[in-house]
Amino acid sequence: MSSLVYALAETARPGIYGASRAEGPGLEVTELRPVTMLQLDAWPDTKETLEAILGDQLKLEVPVTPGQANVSPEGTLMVIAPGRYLLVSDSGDITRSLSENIAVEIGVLTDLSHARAGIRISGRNAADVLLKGVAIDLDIRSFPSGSVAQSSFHHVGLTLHRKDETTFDLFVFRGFAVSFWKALTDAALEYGYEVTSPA
Amino acid sequence: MRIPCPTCGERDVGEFTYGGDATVARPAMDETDPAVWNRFVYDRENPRGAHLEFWQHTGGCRAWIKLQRNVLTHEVGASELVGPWSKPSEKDAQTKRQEPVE
Amino acid sequence: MSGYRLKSGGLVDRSKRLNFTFDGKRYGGFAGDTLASALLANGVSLFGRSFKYHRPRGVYSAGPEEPNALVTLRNAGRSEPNTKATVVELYEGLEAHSQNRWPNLQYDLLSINQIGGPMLVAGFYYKTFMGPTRKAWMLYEHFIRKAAGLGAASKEADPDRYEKSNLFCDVLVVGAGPAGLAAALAAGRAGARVVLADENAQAGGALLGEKEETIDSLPAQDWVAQSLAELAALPDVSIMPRTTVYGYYDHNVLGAVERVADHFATPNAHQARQKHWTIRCASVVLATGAIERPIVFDGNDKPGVMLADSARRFALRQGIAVGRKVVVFTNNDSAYRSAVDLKDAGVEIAAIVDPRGDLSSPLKGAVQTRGIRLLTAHVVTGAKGGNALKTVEIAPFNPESQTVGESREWIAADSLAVSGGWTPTIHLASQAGGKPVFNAEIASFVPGEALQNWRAAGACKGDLALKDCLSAGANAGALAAKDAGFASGTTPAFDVTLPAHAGSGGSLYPLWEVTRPKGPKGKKFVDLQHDVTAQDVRLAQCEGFESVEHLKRYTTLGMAADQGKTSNVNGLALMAAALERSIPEVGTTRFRPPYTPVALGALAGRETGFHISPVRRTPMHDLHVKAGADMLTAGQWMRPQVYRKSGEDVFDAYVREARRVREGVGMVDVSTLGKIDVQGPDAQEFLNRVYSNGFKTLAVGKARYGLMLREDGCLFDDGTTWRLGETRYLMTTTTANAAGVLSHLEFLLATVWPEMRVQVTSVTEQWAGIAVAGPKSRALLQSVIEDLDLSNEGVPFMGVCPATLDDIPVLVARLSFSGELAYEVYAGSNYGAALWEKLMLAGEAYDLVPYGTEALGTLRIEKGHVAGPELDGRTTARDLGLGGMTSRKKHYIGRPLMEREALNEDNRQRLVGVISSNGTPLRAGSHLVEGKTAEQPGRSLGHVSSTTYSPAIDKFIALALLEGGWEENKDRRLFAADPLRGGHDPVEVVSPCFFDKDGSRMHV
Repeated sequence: MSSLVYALAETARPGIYGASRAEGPGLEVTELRPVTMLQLDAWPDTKETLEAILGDQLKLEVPVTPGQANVSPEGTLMVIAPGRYLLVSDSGDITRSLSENIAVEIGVLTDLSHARAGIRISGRNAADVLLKGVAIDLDIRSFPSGSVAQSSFHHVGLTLHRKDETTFDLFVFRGFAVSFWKALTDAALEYGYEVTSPA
Repeated sequence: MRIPCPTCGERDVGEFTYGGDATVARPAMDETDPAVWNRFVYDRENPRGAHLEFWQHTGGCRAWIKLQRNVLTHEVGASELVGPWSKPSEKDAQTKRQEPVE
Repeated sequence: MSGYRLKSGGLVDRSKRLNFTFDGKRYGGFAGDTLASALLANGVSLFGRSFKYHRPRGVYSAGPEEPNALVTLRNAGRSEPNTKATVVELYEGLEAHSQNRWPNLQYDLLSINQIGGPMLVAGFYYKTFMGPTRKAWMLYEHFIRKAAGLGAASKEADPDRYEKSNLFCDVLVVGAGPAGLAAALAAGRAGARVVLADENAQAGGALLGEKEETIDSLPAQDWVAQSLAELAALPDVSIMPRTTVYGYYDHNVLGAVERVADHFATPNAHQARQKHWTIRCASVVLATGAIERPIVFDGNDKPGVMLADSARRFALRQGIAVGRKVVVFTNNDSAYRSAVDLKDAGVEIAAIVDPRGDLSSPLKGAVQTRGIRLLTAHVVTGAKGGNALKTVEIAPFNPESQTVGESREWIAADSLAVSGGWTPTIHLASQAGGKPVFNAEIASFVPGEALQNWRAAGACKGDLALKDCLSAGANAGALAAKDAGFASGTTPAFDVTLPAHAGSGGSLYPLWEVTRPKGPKGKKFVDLQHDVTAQDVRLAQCEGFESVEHLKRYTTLGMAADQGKTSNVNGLALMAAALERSIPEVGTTRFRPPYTPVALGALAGRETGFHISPVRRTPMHDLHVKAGADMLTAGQWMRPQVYRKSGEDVFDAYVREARRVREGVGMVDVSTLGKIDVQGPDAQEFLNRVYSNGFKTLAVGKARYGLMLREDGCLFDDGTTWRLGETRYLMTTTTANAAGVLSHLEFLLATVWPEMRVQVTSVTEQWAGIAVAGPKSRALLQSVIEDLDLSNEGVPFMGVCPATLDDIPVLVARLSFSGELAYEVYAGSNYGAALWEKLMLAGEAYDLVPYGTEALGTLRIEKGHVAGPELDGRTTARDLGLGGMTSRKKHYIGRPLMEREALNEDNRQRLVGVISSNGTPLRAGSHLVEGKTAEQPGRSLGHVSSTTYSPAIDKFIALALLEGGWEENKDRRLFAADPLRGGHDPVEVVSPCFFDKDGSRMHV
């Protein structure tokens, strides 16, 4: 695995940056390095079939409507459009087992494991930082835990998954990762932030 | 300006890309009359008032939608998905030529 | 005017002294002062010079409407011109400079413009510099621009941070005066998420500093404090002081600027000076108040003339007397409070001048008990003084006949407090789209019908009485919350007591302009900031510029940085009078954002410098940088242009790189190519419809070059598509068109063929790609790939095979853009850097050279392969010599219109090769012409699209588009004409393929 170089390897350096706050840094920023990112698409008449396979293989309840995610030990499954799912998993075998179970008549799989960079931000100011770029109401009542949105931050397309009130997983196109990281952490300067080692 | 996306909810116009007049129907693939194609590619009504437009949520879920928008009052009305995931009743309506909604 | 600090009173903290400078001179003030109040306290009466005539100007107001007291704040990169001294909070070390004067404020040489005044009337520039005299403009422009103007922007970069953020709420309340506070309370109590924004540092609006009103038995100050405490305790209410909501856009999107650190000399570390908020909300309450209006008379711009309520505010808020002897001139009751409060504070009131014949008895009583001289049925006809007011000229007035009497009296005064009534602040309401409506009672415009979800309350709706403001605010807040889905209880009634001299709101006598029956006709200013006079308005009418829109543009009335806050209604009234029409008939112009000027820094936010726009980096980016490559942006991508060795320039480097590819082996990062995953049972049929050439016969494990057309028949994009499985394809697009092609495919699948079972997804970022090209490419790759035979049998031309390179899973495709034996090696992006390094290492034995976009271009131009400059949206497949790739057997996108006559004429511009005949490098964009001289080039027959030096044939070559194509023109002597940059050089027209015409090199 020594041949793998992640998008933020040279950029996400652990340390504490920005304004120093009595209550500590306002947020923690970590590069995510999931093993597998997989997009799955159903056909309109095979949605239920695909959902059943996904539920079975991932041991979770597949969310019904776009904009929601469910998590199991096998990974996180986000519904990002009607019949379109994004799986983020630390399992290296999941792609094979899913592709063996999903024939093209039921749906298609697209490997995006190398196509995205992942960043987790958490802490009391995580939402404040995101709001500097994302024009989505992140009030917990409007965007509860488990919500997923696709939008953009500093002109970079972004998939956003709220894990809990103060934790967000962000996925961006790999090529934009460094620009995005720099814009995101720049927005975090006023609150102070800590970069921790990749998860 | 805010546009309702059937998948993502209301978002800023900056997340969307305009895709043209949604009241024109593409001629059949085997249509060969250049005059028919000329009308399809170049002729647009551009009424003062209600328009039915294609937009794509390029900065979000990538869905293509049909949006009612009034270019006079800037009012934005309902939107619907187009394509295989549009609601069955809407799919039937799609095959007919759509008239702009007053 | 000789203002001074009163012994007591005001909200300033007299224990906190602050030092500041104005024009280099040191002064002191107190915490709670504005720059204007602190200067008044120091007896400063002259603040600046006017826009056109350089007339001395003082402070005219106490708020954001200020037209005169504009200063430049701070210095160097932090300098901020045209800042209103009346809204600048004083801080320790503040530095301010006056503007538009030379050599200094007291003795401004350019004030001779006053004498030449008639020359600078409305339309001066049009009249003077149009037609035959237009050339004179070129000569005088510099001097005129220097003479007319306000502050100058700094040329240094601003060192401070500006940020942008988004804010969402149910109810936005703009303005935290009585109406706004009542609205926020009502909405907040109902449970709505409320944002209460106010441009001032302290909430309270008109109640700030008031001593006599009570609300629900509480002194007004205490009611404000209690309301703020209650709002602060509500979890879903945010109070945003120092936040100006400046723009109201479609669909309840509003722009606001929060001055986070403007009241400090420099912001704290990592703190933004200003933050721009984009606010999206369900409902808006506009409680923006009203601005007092001047009356127009001779000399109404003298330093010392100011708005009556502003004089009062200086006393109540900062404990300032604006002068030692004050005359009050008013056409309504409100200014009596100014007279009485100033008198009670110990300031001499020389007289109250009122055009009205009679007054209500409480008012009269309040004035008489204090022994103030009251001159009803009188008007001010003129104000005199140089850099400070000295005398006020008054005359009798008949309110019935509206005539000014001939007798005059001169009253010595250093301050003249004027009130012409109140103008509701309808800027945001007007921006929101409702047409303003004229309210005769207050002789001004009020918000019209709401076309978006907003409601106005309080003075901005014309309700000037405090009780009305409070109840209207509470009502509006409750309704706004209801619109956002929050039911509210009953709205409270407010019990308000007012002092006797508060007067009643509805007794205004409309008086716009005072004209002497005889005597001097001095300048009477309507727009103080732009130096537009009453005479200018009448001149515009005389010359036919009657519509308000024309009036505005012809005279520049209301177009200054203050957007006509004090001048708009007076200007309309004067135009109405000149036209003998009513004011509503004349109408008003629509307000545009911003309400007050917004710093460009706040609009840019952090999108400056490094963050100006995001860039895309390939997985090998850091390796290119380490290798010393010159990185260039191509669209958003950063790509290596050349890898220069020491002593090389770009030319040397790309020529060396291109030569090495043809002689040995080179490799280039092609990760930027657009890549689209196309999958599904109907994928093959889909590709067959979107490409002009056939895709039905493409076998698994093979790639095919395809041409994509637009519906209009022109070329859209080209690229190879690889069949990776029965129902799975990998389509490549040009780097520039990747996003457009994906949207195009998605559009077709959504709107044209929704029944097709095909999914398309961008996988551009999934794959790192390296093209290995040159005669030694096979040997190099075979040395690191063991599980795939790279011979013609193993990987035939256009073959695509999976393999392993060391431990890296790769796809090897035998494709050639350079015309050499070549392979493209693709791996997952996270393997990209390792793949590059492994190939570089293995390449040492083969003298491998990395090459950049420049050599990539050279190699493809030598081969006549088209790219972006040729696929320019106007060319067809036939134009580029690719007509053979358009099928005659199937229907596909773009075919019907590609076949129309006009796109198939023989004299269309078509792809040709061009060789410089005299060894001069060719330049893209040059025109191909027949004329032998630059002076007489003749008609353009086409243009040069891509150019390079060709190491293969040792000549400067180019691809070009030329009428009739190359065979028609091969014997013609043409010239590449570049008139703009200079250049007229002979060229030879040849076939667009300069090298290895039969393509044998890539098939070895």
